[in-house]
Amino acid sequence: MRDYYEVLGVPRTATEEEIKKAYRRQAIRYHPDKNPGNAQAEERFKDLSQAYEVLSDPEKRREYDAAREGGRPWSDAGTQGAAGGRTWSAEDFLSRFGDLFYGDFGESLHRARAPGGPGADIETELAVDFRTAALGGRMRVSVSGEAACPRCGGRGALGPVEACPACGGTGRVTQRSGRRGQFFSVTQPCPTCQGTGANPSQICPQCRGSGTIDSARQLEITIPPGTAEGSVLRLRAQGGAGHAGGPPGDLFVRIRVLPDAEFRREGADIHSEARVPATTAALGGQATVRTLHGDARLTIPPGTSSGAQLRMKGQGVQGGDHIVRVLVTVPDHLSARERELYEELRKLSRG
Amino acid sequence: MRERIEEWIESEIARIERRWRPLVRELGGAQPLAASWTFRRRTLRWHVALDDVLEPDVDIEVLPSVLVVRARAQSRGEVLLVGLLPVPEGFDAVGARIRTERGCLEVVVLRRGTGGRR
Repeated sequence: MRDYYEVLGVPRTATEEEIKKAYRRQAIRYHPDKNPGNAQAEERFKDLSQAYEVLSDPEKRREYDAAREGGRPWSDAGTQGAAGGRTWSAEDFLSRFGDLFYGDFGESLHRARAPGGPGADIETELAVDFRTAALGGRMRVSVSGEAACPRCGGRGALGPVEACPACGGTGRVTQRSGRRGQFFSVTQPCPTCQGTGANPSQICPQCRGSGTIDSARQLEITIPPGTAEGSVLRLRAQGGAGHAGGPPGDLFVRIRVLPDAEFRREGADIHSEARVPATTAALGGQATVRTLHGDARLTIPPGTSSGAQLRMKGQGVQGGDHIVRVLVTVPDHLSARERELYEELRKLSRG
Repeated sequence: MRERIEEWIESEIARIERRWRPLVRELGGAQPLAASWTFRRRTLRWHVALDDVLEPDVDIEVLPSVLVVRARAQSRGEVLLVGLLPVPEGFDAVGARIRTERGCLEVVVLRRGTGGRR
């Protein structure tokens, strides 16, 4: 009986995680994709897969251990049949053990552009007027990116899909190169099917098999209140279309807040200026001030100087304040009576 | 003129990197593989340092707008290293010339229609 523990190079007490790790490490090395035409590596890969299939299944492992301890012969129909009945291929490997390789060599890139591959994230910039950024609102944004091909519905092929005869449907071919002890493998799109994996006679002529076409569209988005300059809004699933039915990417909208002639913003506070007649500044009174929320009455305390800052609570953005800088104004032209009173005021202030 | 082309290549590289960001996210736990580029005449040359790479596990996948280099670090617990080598529009990714030299991976891509030597 074959010693599966020895094949994987793990002790009999190995945990499931250790078995998985040992298998993964060796399977990467002996993977058929990485050793094209190497019969020895293929044989080793079969052994590894067979051992892993038994030892990774608690039930099978228990039966196998019991048979070993009792000196009984042991066989598993499924495992023996798979290993002995036909040739192992990369597709077999990936379909059976793909989860192990997810995010690892050989598989995840393929997933990224093959059926089920996620769409691209799209970034765009949107100029938003000051008030909409402060108070929130709806705006239209133009998005350029990939959309599902209307001809093939995003599948990349027309009719029932048959695998490309050259690459067996993987859409890629791998070559091993190198010299002086440094080796690397290069995976390229299959030249026969242009990387689509589909039989060339079925490739959609509109999208050339990618399942997506470049398109521009308009989208109405919500600008949340208090949106700041440079902030980025993420709209899930509004990015590029997924490849052949895969999930779409996200849309990232970078906000550029346009300056306002009247208001300036510092965090949640709004700043503006208000012109106040000299008499009101000196004697005190009320002034009408424009805020983001409409006109408001501001109390000017007696003796307010030009440049003084007065705070209007809660009139800013999301609970912030509106800070008004007072600009004291004097009349350009004085009537005879006004001149008389100002002269009298001057005398008083000199006295 | 040359500076303008390099600026354009730089912006293309940034665009393609954004385009492929979801893939890098998908490769959970991967760390970036340092890569640099130079442009001369009609040749874009990428250099990837392989100092810390576990040989011979270097995989290069050629996609239409990017070459993805994946390797395992010798140190740092054999963590997965990923290098994205964007190929700007108008350059031939599929015809890339790839070689290793003194612990460095060199990838050369040419602008299409140059008719130059590979």
